[in-house]
Amino acid sequence: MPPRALTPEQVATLAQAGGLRVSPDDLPEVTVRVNAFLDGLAPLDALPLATVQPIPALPHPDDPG
Amino acid sequence: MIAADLAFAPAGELARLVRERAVSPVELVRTYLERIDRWDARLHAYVTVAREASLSEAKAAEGAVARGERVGPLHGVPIGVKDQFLTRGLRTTNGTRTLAEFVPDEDATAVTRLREAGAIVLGKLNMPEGGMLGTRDWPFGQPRNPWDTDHDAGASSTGGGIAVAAALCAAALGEDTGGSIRNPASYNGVVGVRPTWGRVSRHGIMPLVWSMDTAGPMTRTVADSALILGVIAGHDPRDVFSARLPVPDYVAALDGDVRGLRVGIIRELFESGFLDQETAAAVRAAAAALAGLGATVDEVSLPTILLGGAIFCAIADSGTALQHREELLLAPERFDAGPRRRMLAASLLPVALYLKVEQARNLMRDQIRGALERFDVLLCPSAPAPAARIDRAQVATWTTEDLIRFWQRGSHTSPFSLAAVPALSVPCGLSGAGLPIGMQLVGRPFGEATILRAAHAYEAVSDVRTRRPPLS
Repeated sequence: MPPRALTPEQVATLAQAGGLRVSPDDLPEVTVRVNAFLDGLAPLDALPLATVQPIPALPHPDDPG
Repeated sequence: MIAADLAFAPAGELARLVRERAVSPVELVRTYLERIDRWDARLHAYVTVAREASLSEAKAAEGAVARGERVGPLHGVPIGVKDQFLTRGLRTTNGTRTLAEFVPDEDATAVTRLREAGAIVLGKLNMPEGGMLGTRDWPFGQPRNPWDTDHDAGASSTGGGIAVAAALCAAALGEDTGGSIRNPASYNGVVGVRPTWGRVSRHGIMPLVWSMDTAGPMTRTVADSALILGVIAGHDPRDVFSARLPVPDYVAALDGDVRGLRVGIIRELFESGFLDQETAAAVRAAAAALAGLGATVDEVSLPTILLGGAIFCAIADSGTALQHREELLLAPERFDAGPRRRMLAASLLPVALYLKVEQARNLMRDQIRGALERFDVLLCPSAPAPAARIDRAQVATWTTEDLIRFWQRGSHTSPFSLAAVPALSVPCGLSGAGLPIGMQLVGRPFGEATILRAAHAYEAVSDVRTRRPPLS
């Protein structure tokens, strides 16, 4: 089920809780961007991630691959 | 040689002419400075031109040749450097107004190595604010594509793509986090290489995303990229993640032989629904050319690849917000609206979602590296279409659907950054409107020599090297 879209008021409250100032001019786009992250990343729920470690995917400095 | 031919000559050829005293480094620097004076007020490739310093260095380089001193492989060759790299005594803005007066007292390691090889730093190249796409008000001028100045020049090594294409330098040093070398290389019709993360030191690069930032060359030929990569690659004690592996002779790898090379065309990027048909045809024709040279070309599936852009942006925007955390909290108005809104939104992502994004990154890495066990090289378009018009590339009002589509389009380059594998863009044609199209080749970790060899073999049988932007 797709996540419910956050309202600008909810985003402003979240930002305030995190100590961030979001101006009235910025709030509409910041809200769109937060909702796009939630929607755009929703397909990750369908991926087989249960056994995948959440660490950056870096090569070892001496690993030729 | 007339001035324009000299300006467009490959960097390696210019270095040879300097060594043989057929051309003076002073003549070279003056040639590029004249071209910058003529074209850059329109193109805005440069943030800062090191006019006096480059002429002074050129005179010293000329003297060294005259005295018969042993010189490096780039001796006397004028190079542009993205303004994300620290340059000693030369201001480094990172594309921001807040650093408009910042003059570092040291060079980034990649710049040091270019200088040690004899290169002359001609100036610092334009880029979006902090390397973040979405900059609306470019502090140092709106960059323009030399193939059609109404069109976008790509990002974020924007000035590098323009300057190399328009011969405002012999070659450029770029930085690629999610496609920042490959995208402007594709849009401007030049070669751009993103090496394996760890192949080139990050010391002295103003950070965007620590786990993906990578320095690499932008050039007019594949051989020049091989030459410059060989100069800047290698372990640096000041970057703990720089690899201790020996640096191969990338130029020697360009033997033209791709017989038996297994090339995998990434199916999902040709079936995305938003791939421009001219781009698809040009890249498929380039793949056919490789097959004609003896490579084995087949399709490969990477099921999660179209999620790469969203995964990348979640990590990149969060990482950038972290880099600028203090200023974002205290004085967010100092940032351009585009990057500021990206950082603010990323700052509100739930931590559990961020960790899931990192899991997905690893899954994508495993799929890409799994494909690279079956294929030597993966192949796809560097971008889904040629450069858009500037007025269309800059979105005034985003919708959620716009952003998701934008991220999917970014999935042509960012998955390979996420997977920490090398990739390059090589020109493979022009659209009907005369805009460049790029083919991307992706290799195994530290397999730069293989993708350079394939790109060089393709370049040798195509006419891409002979094309120049129609500046007039």
